[in-house]
Amino acid sequence: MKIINALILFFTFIFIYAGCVNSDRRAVVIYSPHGKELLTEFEKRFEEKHPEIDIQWLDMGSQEVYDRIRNEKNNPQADLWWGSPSTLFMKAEKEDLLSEYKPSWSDKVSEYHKSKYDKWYGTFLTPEVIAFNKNVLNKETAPDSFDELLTDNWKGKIVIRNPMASGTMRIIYSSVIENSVKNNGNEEAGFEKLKQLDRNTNSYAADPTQMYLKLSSAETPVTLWNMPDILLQSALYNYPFDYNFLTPSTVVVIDGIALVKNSKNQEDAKLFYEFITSVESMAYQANKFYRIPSRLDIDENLKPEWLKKLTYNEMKIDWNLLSEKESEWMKKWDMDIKGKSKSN
Amino acid sequence: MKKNLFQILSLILIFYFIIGFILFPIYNLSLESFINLNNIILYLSNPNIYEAVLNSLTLSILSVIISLILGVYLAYLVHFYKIKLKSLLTSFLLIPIATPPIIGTVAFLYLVSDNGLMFKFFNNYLSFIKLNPVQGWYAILLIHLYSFYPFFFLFASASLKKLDGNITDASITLGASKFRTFFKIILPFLYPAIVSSSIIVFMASMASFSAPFIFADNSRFLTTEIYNSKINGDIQLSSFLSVILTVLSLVGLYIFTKFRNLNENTNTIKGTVRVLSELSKNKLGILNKLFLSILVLFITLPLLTLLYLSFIPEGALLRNVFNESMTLQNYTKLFSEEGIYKPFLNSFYMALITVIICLFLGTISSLTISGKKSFLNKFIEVFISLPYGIPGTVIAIMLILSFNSFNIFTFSSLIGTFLILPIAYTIRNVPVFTQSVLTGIKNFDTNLNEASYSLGASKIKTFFKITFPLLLPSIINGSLLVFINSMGEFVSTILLYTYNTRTVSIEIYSQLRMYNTGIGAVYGVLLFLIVILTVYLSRKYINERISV
Repeated sequence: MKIINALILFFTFIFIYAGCVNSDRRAVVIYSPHGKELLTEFEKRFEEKHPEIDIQWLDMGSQEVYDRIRNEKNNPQADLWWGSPSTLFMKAEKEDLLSEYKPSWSDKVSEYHKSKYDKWYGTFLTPEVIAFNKNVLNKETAPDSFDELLTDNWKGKIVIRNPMASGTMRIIYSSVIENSVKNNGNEEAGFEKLKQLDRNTNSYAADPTQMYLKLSSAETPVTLWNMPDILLQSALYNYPFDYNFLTPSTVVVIDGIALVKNSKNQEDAKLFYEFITSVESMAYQANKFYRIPSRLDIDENLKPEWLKKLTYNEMKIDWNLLSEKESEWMKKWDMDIKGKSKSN
Repeated sequence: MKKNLFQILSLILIFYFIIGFILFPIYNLSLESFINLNNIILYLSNPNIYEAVLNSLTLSILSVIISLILGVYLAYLVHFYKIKLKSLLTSFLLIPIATPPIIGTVAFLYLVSDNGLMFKFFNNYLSFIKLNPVQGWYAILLIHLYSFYPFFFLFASASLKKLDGNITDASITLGASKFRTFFKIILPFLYPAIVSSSIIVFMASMASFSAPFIFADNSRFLTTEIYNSKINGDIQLSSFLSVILTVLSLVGLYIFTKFRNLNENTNTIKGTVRVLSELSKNKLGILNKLFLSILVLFITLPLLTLLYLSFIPEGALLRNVFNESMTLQNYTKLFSEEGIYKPFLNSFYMALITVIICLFLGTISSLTISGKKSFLNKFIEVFISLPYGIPGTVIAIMLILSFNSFNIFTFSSLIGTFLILPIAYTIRNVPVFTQSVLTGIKNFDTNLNEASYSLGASKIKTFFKITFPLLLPSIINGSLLVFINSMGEFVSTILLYTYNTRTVSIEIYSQLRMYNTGIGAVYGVLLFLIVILTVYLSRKYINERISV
């Protein structure tokens, strides 16, 4: 009995002690889908320069970030929203969830890559690609267009990250519908394509990691994903991944950044905002994290080799239309298409 | 009878809780789900909703059936057969009850999925056996079986202790086979226990989120559909689905309760019971020995997987796991990180706050309910236990709808605050606690209170000197259940947490998402240890202090 009482006391003290260790650093909370590697790195680099500020980040899917910021509208928990397709920032701008802020480099970025009212700015240009397992396929044998993915050759060989929670997948799927509206004047042809893709899809992964694991198996060697993640994951964890750009043209997402409206620590958040979007940081992000910078004033010497050599055809996309209709299209996909063609 | 100040204050608090945190959120949820009637017609013409309903119901019924078979058979074996180390085996069999669902799910993911240890083990060393990874429905059912059979085992074992050995002996002597005796005598005797555990398992399966969330793949379940539509920004659809899920759960609860009442008085036994019987002289056959061994493996393997992975360097699942050497690096890394205690502290404080509120609200409401039968008391009984039929996902949605702006119950927005999590846990756990105390009250001799009054003690004195000490065991049991439920809560937490309020379960999930198998496993192991230690210590405390 004495031992038990001592144990209880011991644990109570540990908890109380740990509860009292409270840093007096000023916290900046960041919601971001950019992944722990990039977030940890910039947390460290920034805190070295500003030890009085504590960077706290939560890594989650873009769609989850947006949903949270909307839920927390009356009591914002995040100061900064770093990363997500511009379509989500456009929606958030309409719903008045973002603060206006003009970064020092506001004129160093194409006008297509920022909000008219300084609510958000583009940081990275992210091309979407067909990624494959290079133990099974190579650049020639792997598919290189969306239409090729729909043929019988790839039936049951494709793994897809659950599109509902993934900004990347939502953009890829919505762009198919947007193209269909543009080229055929209706959505049907686009949904027909997505239906064929669903037929060929072996499984939907609950998170990116599950998707990477499935992609590294021989059963499902093909997926649609973004280029930086594929390069980064293969570099970091020796995943056997390679990719093809989509032909004739590939979707290029604008990844944005914005301050959350009415958040607690806007001033320090701005410091971090400027820090991670400086020329040095963007060059570093390109070198280490395979991110294509949106800033046009980055010196050629600072750019990594892969970036200098990079060529792709950017698909023309009506981002306003996509931002407006994306939710509706994805809902329709979820309701009418997902898992429906399995039985045939 | 005049009510004193204490009782009036208690009643006010109970009503504040019922109206503000149960009825107001339910009202908001219903309002939101029927806000646009055209959408409802659209939803109802959509086959997916029916698919989700059908899947959730099928999953729940299947979970009840498989857990029933395993749990009751185990209780039978343990009761009637000579088994070495029986008490150790019994504690082993109950481990899954104390395992938070998110830990069970993640452990199974690392064990049986296509990148799991079992799959890799067979591929590496026993490649002549073609083993398929366990996925989708099979995986979900396996996890449900793991988490839910202990309820049947526990309830059935408790009942069997009251079974009169003379009856089974009579059956055997009259020439009935063991098989016949089991189905004609033992099974009917267990009817109330089986119905009670079926209720728990059915409700828990309807509300199950972690397993379908990670394993469901293409299949739709109500809980995951609610989450997905919420994430997609369709609040009306997620509210509508929440209403459907809640109604189905409540209907299920109602039907099962009817079943229970059908057969309430069959088991009254008068006098002493001769527990042992001829049947107890059975020795385990080889098949049953094999069965029990496999079962012990089934219980321990997921936890051993977690333990093993916590000692293996990061990213090991991508390489050949079995060539890696064991290290403590995950533990040292975790403990050297600043703020590592935070999720543990959060979980602990939230569980503690939940227990304290439940302790207060639950005790006074169960005392009120068990008092005089009046409309008021019936009202409290019905509404305080209503949330038992409301799954965690739905509670989170209701809270978001109700408390994300000014309201007359809390005045300011609660979303994003620390308090919202213990509130969510409390709503769901007050019924659990109340049920536990009510069971205690049923066995409580009210004459003792009368005696205390007639000897001149005041109501308050009677409560603290007589009622409370006698109810203490069931109060501790109830608190323990609430504590376990809250420590590892994941379902409503995932919709309500923020950076400052992230809990261990959220940390386990994010590490899974970021593929830190090692650190994730360390969190899992530590949470498991905390829960098991708490259960063990309080059991010990109950046994030593209060011999009942």
